[in-house]
Amino acid sequence: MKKNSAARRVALTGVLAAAALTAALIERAFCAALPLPPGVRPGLSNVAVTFACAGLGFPYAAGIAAIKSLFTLLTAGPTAGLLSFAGGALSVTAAALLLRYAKGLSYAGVSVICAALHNAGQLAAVTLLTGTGAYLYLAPVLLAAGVGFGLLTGVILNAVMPALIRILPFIKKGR
Amino acid sequence: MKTPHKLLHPADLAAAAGILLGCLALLLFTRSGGGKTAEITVGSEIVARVDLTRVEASYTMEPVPGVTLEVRPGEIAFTRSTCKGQDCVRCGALSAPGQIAACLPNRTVVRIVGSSGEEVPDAIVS
Repeated sequence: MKKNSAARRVALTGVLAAAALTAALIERAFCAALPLPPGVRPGLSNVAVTFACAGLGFPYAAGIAAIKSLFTLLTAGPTAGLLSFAGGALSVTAAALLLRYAKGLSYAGVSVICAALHNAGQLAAVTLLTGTGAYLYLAPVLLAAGVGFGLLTGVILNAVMPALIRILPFIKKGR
Repeated sequence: MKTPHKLLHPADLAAAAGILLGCLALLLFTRSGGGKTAEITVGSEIVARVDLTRVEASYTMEPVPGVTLEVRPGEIAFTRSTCKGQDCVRCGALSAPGQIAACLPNRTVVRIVGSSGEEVPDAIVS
């Protein structure tokens, strides 16, 4: 039974990684047509990453985030790949800590904080990469957008989590 | 009757409010004075400053090979870039203090700052 459960977790991770990449691709396509400020994205793929962190554990979520970064590196170039990695690393780590210790927050609160940290991680990476603080002027817009889109992804997760727990008995129970 | 699952908890809203307050503080802290000067940075070096209020006719400049900026009366925009994503070009025209557009692969940033009372020549290109 334990072996089956481990195999199921790995299989689910694969499905979630595919879902995250699909969401990222769709997002990239329709964001091109929207008048969004530079660097602002809805982050729909983070629904999959946060669910993985909550239902499967940090290693699985970190794996999905790494696959996402690799995908970004291959399709959008090294700069975008590095930013994706920096933001993903910070937000997945924060998600694991918040899900474990901040019991008062639902997935919406976790998503809001992780979205803001994702953008903060990307800003930090860009600042280190370029050696200039000019990009820090984007911080208010990016953090505010993180709040908005974090709430969106978190509310989606709050809505679907009970159903997912029912159909996937091998995942950890939700909040 | 089953209690409906909550989509938002008070702590979630508190976290969101906290971050938004931080954004507001950042905005107030970085607010610039009146006037409109476009500051063009490549890497860590400011390569040009253009007082957009004194621009009478449109012209183009190339701070980095492959990247073209169009300067128009009161605004500036990326019009061409060699980068894959073209986010910089899609940003459109910048015309208000605080607005920023960046082409990361070419390490070029264009930011509109207030003149803060300082005398700024029409354009400085280094």
